[in-house]
Parts: sequence; C-alpha cells; structure tokens
Amino acid sequence: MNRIGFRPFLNKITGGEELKIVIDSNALIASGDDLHPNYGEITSFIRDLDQRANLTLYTTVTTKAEYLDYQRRRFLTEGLLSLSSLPEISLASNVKAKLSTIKGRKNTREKNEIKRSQGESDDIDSSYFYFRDSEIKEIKKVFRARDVQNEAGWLKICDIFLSRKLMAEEALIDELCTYLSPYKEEQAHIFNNKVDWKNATKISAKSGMGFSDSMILNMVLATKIDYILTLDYDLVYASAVSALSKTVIIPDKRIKQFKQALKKL
Amino acid sequence: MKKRRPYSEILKDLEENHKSVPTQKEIEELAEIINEKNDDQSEEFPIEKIASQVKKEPSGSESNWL
Repeated sequence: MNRIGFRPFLNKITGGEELKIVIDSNALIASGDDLHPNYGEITSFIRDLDQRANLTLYTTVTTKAEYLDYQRRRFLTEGLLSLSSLPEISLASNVKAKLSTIKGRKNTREKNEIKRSQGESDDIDSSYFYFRDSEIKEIKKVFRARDVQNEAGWLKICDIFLSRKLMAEEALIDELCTYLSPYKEEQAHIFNNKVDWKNATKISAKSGMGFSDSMILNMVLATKIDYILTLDYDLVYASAVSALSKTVIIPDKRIKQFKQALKKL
Repeated sequence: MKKRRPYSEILKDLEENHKSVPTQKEIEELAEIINEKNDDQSEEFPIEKIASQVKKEPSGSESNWL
C-alpha cells in the first residue's frame, strides 16, 4: 500500500532529517483558505513537519498557477461583495442588479454544495464560496465604461481588492515552495530520469485523472522524492496505478474513506 | 539552497494578507471613480430627451428611434 495518514507519517519522523515532499494543488489550496474544510488539519500537519524535520516543500509552476487563480477568484469575490456595505460607494443600478443576480447564483450553489456534503458525508468544496471566472467576467463588463478607453472603475477595483493581495500571496508561496524543474542546475541531484511529457498523457489516459494532476505525478516520477501530499482521491488512485514507488500522504480520515474504494489496488 | 523562514511565520503572513482590507483613502478614490461613472450613465439618455423623441403614430401607438 503506497498511502499513509498524517499521524502515522508524523510518528515516523525522528527529528532533524532532510524531508522532501511534493505538495499538489488541492493540498496547497486547502492550506491557503481558512474556509476550506481541511485548512486546520493541513496547516497543523505542515507546521508539525516543519518543526520536526528540515522540510522542503516542492511543487510545480502549474500548481502555483492553480493556487493563485483560486486566490484571484476569492479576493475579487470578497471585494465585490463588500461594495454594497461601503457607505461611500453608490453603485449604478445596472451594476447593483448584476452583482445581486450573481450573488444569488453563488448563494444557491453554496447551499446545494452544503446539502450535498451533508448528504454524502463529504467535505465541502470551498471553491463554491466564490464567483466563477465567467461571473467575474460578467461583472467586469458592467463596470466597464461604454468607452473602452476609460476602464478606470474596474481597474480601480482590481487595484484595491486584488493587486496587492495577489502579489503578496505570490511572494509568500514562492518563499514556501520550491518549484521543480529538470532544467535547474541546483535541482539536478533530485532528478533521476528525464521528464517526458508524453508520460503525463499516458498517466492521464490510464486512470482518467485530470492533466494538471498527471503532470505533477509525472514530474514526481522523474525525481528521487518519495512523498506526495494531497487531499485528492484521483491522485491517490492514480498513484496506486502508476506510481507505486511513491508514497501518498493524506489526512487520516481519508485513509478510511478511500480504503473501500481502493481495496484491490 | 537559501533557507526559508519557518512555516508558522509564512502562514501568519498569509493569514494577515487574506484579512487585509483597502484603506479609507483607497475606498474614497474608488467611490470617486465609480460614483462619477454613475453620473455619466444617468446622463446617457436623459428622460426629457427620450420624451421629446416619442412620436405618436396615426394608429395611436407611441414610438421612438432610440
């Protein structure tokens, strides 16, 4: 079996050793949003690991892009939803109407997701708390001036609700994570194989997993790194099929949840 | 490889970043732009202008060319 829960993994750490772990996008996103149901568990786990071992968290630039895109949607949603509570702001009626419609859609999705998670005893997908990209585009359109040259309104919204936070977020994630690259000289000792991107397609084709996950799994397979930190069933499943030499670290309760589904793997 | 700060410190900074809100000055600047745009939009088709362009057809129906 190539999976292990947080607690048994922590118990294995004797202290002070070099520890290299690859973190995937859903685990990184969970560690960066306190509304995510796994936020407390995953941040405590990384903090404990970091205190006990000399931890290097590796990831890919694709994962970084997924993380920052999630935060972009979050910061813009929070900012746009706060507009109606700011006494200084007097929104045009078309903007007010659009925001209200989209807020209504989001709230309905959110309620349905809460119902689903309760019915299936599953974690809530925190991305439901935020506007979709297509909805942000709809809102952007109503903020735009009729004259395309005058975009001051939307640009100011980005400036005060998004820009500084997203730049700070990137700097902190860059500090936390080391991006895997077969082209970096200082990482040459980590890689034991050439990264062949066609293998990512093979991994995706074999288990049906998404491409961003298959790309990270393919990258890990080309390295000497033994561990992948994830919350994702798909990655656990694909690792059981295509990456048996690697160990997947997942929250303890998910070990039980996945046990039945992965019985014969 | 350069040693990073402890995760607990990075996490604290991430949490502070997530909680940060615009300053009063930034909100006032935004209000100036958005509220100004409000005024622009309300002036696009003033009510009097629309009313002056309404034509009464011989059939009794009203129409305009907007």
